[in-house]
Amino acid sequence: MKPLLEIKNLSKSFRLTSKAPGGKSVSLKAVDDISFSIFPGETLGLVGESGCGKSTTGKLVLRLIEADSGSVTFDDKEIGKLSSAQLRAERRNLQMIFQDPYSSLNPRMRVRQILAEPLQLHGLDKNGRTLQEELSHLLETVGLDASHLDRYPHQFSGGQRQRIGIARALAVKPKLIVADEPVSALDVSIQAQVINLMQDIQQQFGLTYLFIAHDLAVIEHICDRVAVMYLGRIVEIAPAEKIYGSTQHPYTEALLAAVPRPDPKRERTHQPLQGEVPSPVNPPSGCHFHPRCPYAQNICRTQSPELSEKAPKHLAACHFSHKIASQSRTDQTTSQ
Amino acid sequence: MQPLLDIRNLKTYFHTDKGVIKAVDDISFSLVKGETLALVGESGCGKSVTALSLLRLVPPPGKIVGGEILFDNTNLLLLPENDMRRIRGNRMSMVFQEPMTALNPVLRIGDQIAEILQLHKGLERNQALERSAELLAEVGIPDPEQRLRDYPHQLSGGLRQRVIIAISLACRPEILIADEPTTALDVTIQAQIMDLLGRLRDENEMALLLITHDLGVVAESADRVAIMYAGLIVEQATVVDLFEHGSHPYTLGLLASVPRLGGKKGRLTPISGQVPPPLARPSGCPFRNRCPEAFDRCAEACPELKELSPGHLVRCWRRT
Ligand SMILES: Nc1ncnc2c1ncn2[C@@H]1O[C@H](COP(=O)(O)OP(=O)(O)OP(=O)(O)O)[C@@H](O)[C@H]1O
Ligand SMILES: Nc1ncnc2c1ncn2[C@@H]1O[C@H](COP(=O)(O)OP(=O)(O)OP(=O)(O)O)[C@@H](O)[C@H]1O
Ligand SMILES: [Mg+2]
Ligand SMILES: [Mg+2]
Repeated sequence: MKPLLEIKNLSKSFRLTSKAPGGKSVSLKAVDDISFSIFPGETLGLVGESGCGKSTTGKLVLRLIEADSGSVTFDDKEIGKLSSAQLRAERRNLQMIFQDPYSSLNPRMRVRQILAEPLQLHGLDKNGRTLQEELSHLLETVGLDASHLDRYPHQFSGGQRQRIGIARALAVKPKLIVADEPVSALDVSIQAQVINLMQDIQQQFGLTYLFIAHDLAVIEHICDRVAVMYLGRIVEIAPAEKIYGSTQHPYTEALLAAVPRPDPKRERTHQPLQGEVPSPVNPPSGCHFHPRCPYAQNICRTQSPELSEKAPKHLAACHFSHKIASQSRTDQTTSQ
Repeated sequence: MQPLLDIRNLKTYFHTDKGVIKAVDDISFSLVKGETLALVGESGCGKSVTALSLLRLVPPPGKIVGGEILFDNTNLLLLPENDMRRIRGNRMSMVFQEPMTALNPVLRIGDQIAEILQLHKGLERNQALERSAELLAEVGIPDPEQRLRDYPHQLSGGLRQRVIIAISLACRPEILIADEPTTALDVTIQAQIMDLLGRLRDENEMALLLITHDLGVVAESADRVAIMYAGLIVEQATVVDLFEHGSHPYTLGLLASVPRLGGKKGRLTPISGQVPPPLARPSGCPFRNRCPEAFDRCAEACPELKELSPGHLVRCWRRT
């Protein structure tokens, strides 16, 4: 099967200008040479700690910001080479749900206008069904109804606003949706409603998702494959059951160990990871993770490990991934 | 054991133009030395207002309109403000929900900690700064002497939260109220901070009131749990009872709706509907319009908290 989205060696730096007088501007590598692909109908999860480059990756996919180098190929078209008119047309197939349900909807527009705008932009508002019918149908799809059309965003709860954001992304019947932390701002009971909704519409419309989140349980629940990012790089990418069952990267192992489990009788087996995430302005040499890594050796300080295949369909960037694999196997046997 | 803090029928209301918001509507719980009680519930259920009420820091138009807060057998609600000031930040202190607003951006870290020690413990400035460095070391901040001279914006989110905890612990409080102390932090940093709080609680025999909406954090850190909904405690139990024999339909709904690591795929089981706005709560039991077990009686009156088994309280007509 051919991928719907293919990303090759994508990089993006930001210039930060120092506030001190005469200070030099420094550059920050937000996304550092990442590659991955997503197949039609699949959900790929992108997970990692704050600032690791998840949202930047999402924006690069839609070309909401310009990449420094590398390519994004969507449906056989290289997004970076499209003219602005072509790009606008392609956005019909490529939509985004934004991180913050409170700021991503224009407060001065009624729901009716918010949903009609993408339809009108793509000339999809005159195809038989009246606009009114189309909009009511969209709202019903996300569990709201036509009576909500004339309200403003502030008249809705966070969960309802996130539904409106999803309805807006769905309006043009895209092929791929980049969902940037679509449930992070929601209470757990509402979060479950929105996750179910996203899975239902995926089945109904054959959607493909790039699903960005920092909650590992949510990612496991919804994703077919998972990519783990650390300081701008992908450190591991594999089918979800391999990431969660037999990780090949110490950072993934530490993340999983740190997730608090809703089971009061479970003993925590691992010491929490020490230290803070280093500044992306001046990342550690070699493997970026080495200062916090319990497996680190000299080579890790000098040589950045390649992302390479450690097991079928399982890529990791670590000099000592074989040690982790054996470690988690002993864990399993001792807990039995 | 004699409780250190005993809250009885606390009510805190906000009198607004549109009506009276019953943010905390008759809450009772107690806290003994050395234990962690978790206060859990969805956004807007009244967790922060409860915490602010304990310290008598409710912002206007909010007002404590009823109840007692017994701290070491003294009702704090009857105390003159001057005496209250001697307790706040000293015997009872709080880690506030917004980490960005909890520190003064124009004061150096060292000065912010020293100030409190000078005020409550009567230390000289030099002594206070020395002690501040010790406190920073205690919460795991590298190069503490160096850090004393930093301003808050020079620290990462995780370090800032450690400083806030150091400040709240400066006077060795008997009670620490921590309002979502890790919500803004990454999981690896969250694990460090929760370990730190647990260790400091044990070392100082402190009682900890932990406010959180994360059931994983509750399971790993709390001894007892109180579940809040719409200004009320709807269930209270030991942590094991709550997770294994949770009884209130809202508790069961919360436990069923979280995705779990290694859990089943397929559909989650959400609670239907949403939290009603505070001025549009239904009559009777406030959960009844989302409750799968609601019946006639739930609309007529709000149930009382009843004891199911020792230490396990539930507010539900179906369970009495
Ligand atoms: N416009 C910008 N200018 C300068 N730096 C930026 C800009 N956008 C992002 N960054 C920086 O790039 C890095 C990656 O940011 P990004 O928003 O992609 O992270 P993230 O993984 O989405 O984090 P979070 O989980 O907090 O949303 C961060 O260090 C961030 O500060
Ligand atoms: N200053 C205020 N004026 C009016 N109403 C207020 C004020 N502060 C809080 N409230 C109301 O009191 C209720 C309880 O708020 P509180 O901040 O205690 O919720 P919470 O449980 O801490 O929620 P979160 O999880 O979002 O922090 C809410 O309905 C809120 O709208
Ligand atoms: Mg982001
Ligand atoms: Mg709060």
